[in-house]
Amino acid sequence: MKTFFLSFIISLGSALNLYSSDAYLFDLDYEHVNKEFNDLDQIAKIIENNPDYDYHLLSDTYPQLIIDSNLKPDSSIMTNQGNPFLGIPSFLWGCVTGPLGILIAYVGTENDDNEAKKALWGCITQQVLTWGCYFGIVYFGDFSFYTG
Amino acid sequence: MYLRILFVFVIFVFQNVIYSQNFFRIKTDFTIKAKNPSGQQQLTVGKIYYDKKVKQIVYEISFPEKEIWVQKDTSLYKVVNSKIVNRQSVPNMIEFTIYHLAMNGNLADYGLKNSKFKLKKVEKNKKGVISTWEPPVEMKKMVGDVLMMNENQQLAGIVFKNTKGEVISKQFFRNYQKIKGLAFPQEIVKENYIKGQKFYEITTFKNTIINDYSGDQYNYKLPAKK
Repeated sequence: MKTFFLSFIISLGSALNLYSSDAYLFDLDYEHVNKEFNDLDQIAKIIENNPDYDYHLLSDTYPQLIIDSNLKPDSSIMTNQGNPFLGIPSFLWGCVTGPLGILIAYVGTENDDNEAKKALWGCITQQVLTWGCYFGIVYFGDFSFYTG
Repeated sequence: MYLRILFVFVIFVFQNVIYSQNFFRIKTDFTIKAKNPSGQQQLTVGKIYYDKKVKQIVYEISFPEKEIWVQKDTSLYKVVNSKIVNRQSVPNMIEFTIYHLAMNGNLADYGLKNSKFKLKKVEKNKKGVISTWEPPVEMKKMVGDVLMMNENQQLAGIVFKNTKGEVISKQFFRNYQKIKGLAFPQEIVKENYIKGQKFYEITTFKNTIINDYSGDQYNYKLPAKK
């Protein structure tokens, strides 16, 4: 009787423990996850059979597959690549705020050199446009009404 | 008698140290399939080289483009045609990558036992043993609890929560394969939660080689920046 009672308590304890636990957090619907990647599995097989294929060659050979799978041309390891600071293109940071924009684009993207370069081009464009307008007005503008 | 007990105790205590000293290099083919919340997909195929003494992860990518990425300290470099074309700052998490953890015999506890995280709760159920780890005081404003599930003394899953107690990421480690005595998962399924949306990433490994002596990719030297 004592043994039965003890076993009952242990079983009840285990059952309660199972339902009150964090075990549900570790549920994984593996079939569902696999289904999510059906398109990519197909591409992965093509790549496996053609190790020389890069994205461009693949998109030339299987253009529809690229469209259907919505495959990006970059890999998933670079975390911030192509993500400008605050979602504002780095070119605009440089173009609107000048040299300060280069610093913002560089620091804001955690020292991404490429984003800093885009901001630099923005800054150069701003300077070229500003000086271009200035010389255009000075040399080609009609200021005859000033001289009478 | 006492000597025997002492011997068994010493073997038990130092077995991790003895095992971990045996493994120092890992090389494996990998495929990462990822989907972001906007429905765009990414496929990355290549090889990974890791030497625990060098402490840099070298990704030799063959798809989508042929390039090399090197993760060292707090930087991630992208090298194309022997030129560094991009550098990003990343958290120094090399010691928490599965490559480093596996080489040091710490994959089963994800390195948490040797970290500042404190064991808060342990529960056993049909699935395995679930342990809850709370972050140290100085990190409590940034990260929440970490839950870990072990099956057959192997890491089966890990759940990361934010400070509000919401799940932000889950990782499931599947299909362990023993290579030269080292158990290494051949698949990792990640569930990431962004703005309430769940999206997945599957990393598969194959042709995993432990303690490979050939090639110098493990010591890949970054080209000088021009």
